[in-house]
Amino acid sequence: MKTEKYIPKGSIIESSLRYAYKNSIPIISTIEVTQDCNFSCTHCYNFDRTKINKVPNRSDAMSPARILSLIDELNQAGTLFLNLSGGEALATPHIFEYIKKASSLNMEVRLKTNASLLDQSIIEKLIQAGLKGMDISLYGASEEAYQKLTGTQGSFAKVLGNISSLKKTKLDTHISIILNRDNFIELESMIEICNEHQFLYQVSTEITERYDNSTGSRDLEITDEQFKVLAQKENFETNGVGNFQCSCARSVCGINFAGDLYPCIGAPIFAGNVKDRNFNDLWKNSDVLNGIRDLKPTDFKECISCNYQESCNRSSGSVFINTGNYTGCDETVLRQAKITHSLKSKDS
Amino acid sequence: MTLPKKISHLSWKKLGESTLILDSLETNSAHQLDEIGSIIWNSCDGITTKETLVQLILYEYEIDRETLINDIDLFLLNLHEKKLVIHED
Repeated sequence: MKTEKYIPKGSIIESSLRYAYKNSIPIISTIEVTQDCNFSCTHCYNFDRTKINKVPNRSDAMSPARILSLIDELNQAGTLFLNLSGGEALATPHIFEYIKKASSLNMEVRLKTNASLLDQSIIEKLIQAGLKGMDISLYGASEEAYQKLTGTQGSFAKVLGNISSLKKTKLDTHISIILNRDNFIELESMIEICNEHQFLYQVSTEITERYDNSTGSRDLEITDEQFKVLAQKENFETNGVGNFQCSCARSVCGINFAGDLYPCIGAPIFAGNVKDRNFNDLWKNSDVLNGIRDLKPTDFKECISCNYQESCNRSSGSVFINTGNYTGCDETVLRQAKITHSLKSKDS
Repeated sequence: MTLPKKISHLSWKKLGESTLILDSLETNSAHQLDEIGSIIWNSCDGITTKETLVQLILYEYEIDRETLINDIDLFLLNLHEKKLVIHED
């Protein structure tokens, strides 16, 4: 559910994104700079942080030097928007170097963060390094909700204080409301926080299986009744008919903490590793990425014959994580599309 | 006479022949430059002279010199008005 559009249709940015899509230029890239995180969220897609909040195989991680040279290679490949994410991106002490490097290459560098590790001096340091924007994940509107979901105490007050501090800066701050069945009741309060600070926001209900195949991450998916409430909101949007293919492997790419290249950070399909290989070489020549670029609408066999296309919110990355089939369908997505379809039918 | 310098907090990228410029901190705006605009933008470093830029463009394009100089002046004025470049005297 996108309640605000980050990129207006017909804008200069949209036409540039289209050009990048057509020419397979990774204009939007995400680097997972660390898997360390100060939160232990039950829904985390990396691994089960409620059991052990340690990065498995830390020795596999890209070195800070490799991340810096990777930023160079992404710049040469055409990246303008560089998202630095985690884990918690602020959990690495090297984050300022990465931002400084990207900014020196004139990139629009943004930080994906839970905002709990910020303080006034860190915010100032980030701005000095050349940060242009923040994408904050908001997990609730109360201390209780935060404690239950993230396993930490006192985080909500910190996050709220930092959101207020960011309002006083010129950073382009957006908020992602991460909605689940437990914090659903606080949706309106979370929206109020965004509106009060005049920050653009979107609501995400996407909770996927974990990349390490451990179970339980989807236990918090919103219920069908909750989805029904959400689908009746004024700004609720769906993908529209025939829009099966997203920007994966074309204008978007993701690189995980170990250097694995993905068509998108939300679609963990291994396309090669950049630790010992030049990004551009892999981006152009990976069979996996070229296979995704060659996909046609008819390759999305279940979608093309589906009666609920116009009501669907499918994301290929999430479907891949949940089913192993990038062009397939996921039962939750289908169930939600049917609910939306039924609500639309009643309206008309 | 040296050309103005790009404002330091801007982000930009050349995409094909055109250039996309973003100012998300001050004016919250996006700008797109065409092929020749991109060449001028690229030369806005506070060091390159206007004469060097004129020579560079005349080498690549068949344009009348006086028209080109007028166009460059107008273009630079436009960049300045949009707060994309600054003259460092």
